[in-house]
Amino acid sequence: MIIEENKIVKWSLISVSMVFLSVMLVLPLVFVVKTAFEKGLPTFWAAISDKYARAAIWLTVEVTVITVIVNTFFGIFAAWTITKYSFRGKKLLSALIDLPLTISPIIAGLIFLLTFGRQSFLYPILHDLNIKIIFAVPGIVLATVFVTFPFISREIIPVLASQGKDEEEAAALMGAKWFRIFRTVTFPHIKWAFLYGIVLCTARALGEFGAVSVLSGHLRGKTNTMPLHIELLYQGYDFTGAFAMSAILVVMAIIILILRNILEYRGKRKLSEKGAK
Amino acid sequence: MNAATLIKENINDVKDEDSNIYVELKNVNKNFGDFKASDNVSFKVKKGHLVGLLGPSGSGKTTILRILAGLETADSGDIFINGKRVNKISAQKRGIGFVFQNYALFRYQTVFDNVAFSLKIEKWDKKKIRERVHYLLNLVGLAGLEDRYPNQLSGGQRQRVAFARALANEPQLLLLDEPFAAIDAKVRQELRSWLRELIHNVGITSIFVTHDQDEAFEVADQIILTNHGKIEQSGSPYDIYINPQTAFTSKFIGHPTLIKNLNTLRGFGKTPDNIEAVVRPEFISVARTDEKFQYSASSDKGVVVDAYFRGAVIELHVKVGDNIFVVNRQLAEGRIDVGESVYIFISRVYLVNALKAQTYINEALKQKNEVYII
Repeated sequence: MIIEENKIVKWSLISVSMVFLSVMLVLPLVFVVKTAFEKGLPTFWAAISDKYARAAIWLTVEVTVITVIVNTFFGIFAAWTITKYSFRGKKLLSALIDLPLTISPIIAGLIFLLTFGRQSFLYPILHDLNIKIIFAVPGIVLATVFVTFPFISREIIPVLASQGKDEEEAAALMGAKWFRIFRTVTFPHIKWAFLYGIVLCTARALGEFGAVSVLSGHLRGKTNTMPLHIELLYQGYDFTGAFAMSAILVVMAIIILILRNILEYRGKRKLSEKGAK
Repeated sequence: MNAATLIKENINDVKDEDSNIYVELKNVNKNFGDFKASDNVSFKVKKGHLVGLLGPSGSGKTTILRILAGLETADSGDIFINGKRVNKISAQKRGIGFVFQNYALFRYQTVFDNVAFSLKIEKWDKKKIRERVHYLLNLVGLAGLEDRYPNQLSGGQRQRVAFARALANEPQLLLLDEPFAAIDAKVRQELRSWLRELIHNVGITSIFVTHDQDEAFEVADQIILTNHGKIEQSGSPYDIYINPQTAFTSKFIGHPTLIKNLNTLRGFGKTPDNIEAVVRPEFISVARTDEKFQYSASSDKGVVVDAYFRGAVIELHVKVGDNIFVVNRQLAEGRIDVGESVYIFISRVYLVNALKAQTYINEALKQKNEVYII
């Protein structure tokens, strides 16, 4: 062992971490669930089966599904482009993909507001075509896609990069077209990283608040997603309602966390299985 | 025989020569940014020949292979395979078998699926695929390993799978990029002769890239020597070894040492001052001063400054004037130790200028026997 095992150091580090996580994570989560059920199950049920609550849940699911589908395609294409081709501006493209991670979501929202809003030169065209983006569902989807697009490509890029181009070239030389190459050679490689990216993307899409808040217009029952709805309830002093909705988001997050761990575990086992035989 | 038939026969000769050429590159150029990877590359490869592209790393040999395969596009020049210009034909359609340096086996597919890959693309009948794969795995000595994954195989076995996979759909041209580089020395030796034999049995025109001259000399029918993106010399291994034509060739092949002031050495007095020359150990014989030595009259006296025991031979470093010569002495000829005085006789050197190399035979040999050829 490189670091000599000192029991005091070891246990004090473990307890510091545990206390920190308890205060920062576990306690708040317990509190959320506790507050949600404080006034009994019927109140909780009433809070989440309310017309606007249901609309918010449904909208969140809808936006998340669209976002994940869009980003799946974009993520694969971007990762493929960056790792398999060399071209001018490749570094720039690679840096741009990371932009949503470094930019504040609220600024992302404002960018879209300026691009598609009334001040924009695009507005008359969109208006004539009867396309509503700002303060409508397309705007919410756009904002969510923007904020979450690095997640899938960032998971795939390292795996693709470490693999190199040899196997694809070998397949091409044997006459395979790109789709077959992707299906039989590339995809098996990136499968686990890809599913992992989808999980992260889903988690982020469910909870997105900042960018969506700017673009949605907060129309109850129409453009309010779950996080927005929670804020609305909270601002209206409806704590039970806010926490009931939060509890649902928390449960979703936990399910995703479990999925994530299963995927990670399976990914690792698949690799070691093939190595061990 | 009149003039007309003579010309006709000549034309036939030319035609015959051309129809026998399977691969030809004409003035191929390729740049990567400022780097000239291929500089006016031209060569011909005969059908059924096994050709070694030899050169130091970075000399552009792999680029040539990749241009031939269609994995890179040449900036200019023509590439002919079987008489057809293939510049515009994609890698998918060139019908070339390719063995990658680290084999590029499909990690997530079994040995069987790897070998069957091209057959599935060509939509062979399932039963025929199975027959063909079994035939190939038998050929490369891997029968029974169909269900293994690549990382369950040894380096040598992987190479054999890569080879079987490249041959599966009966390509007419096989390209191999450093086929032995990733294999340990002992297995490499065995695989070299195996590959040579197999390629000749299959009768497929093959080009392999290597930086290892022993490998090229042992395996190839023809060697194409590359340096800085240019072809330095092309010819039979014997020809390349014994008749280096360029400065690079004479300094790259074998284990040459540079000679200063050549005309101070006996037997080379007629050469001009300050000419650059190289000599290889196999052209130097050595004897102790008390031994009987055939060419003692035209030998130079020197002192052994280093001696390395190599088993079958002893490598001696002999200092003569300003020069230190490397000489191999057979173990059976008796030991010579550091510090001993010896005679060395140099039978041939290569005179080198910026462009060309020229063979120069020791004057003593020329006088004794004019037609003496080593």
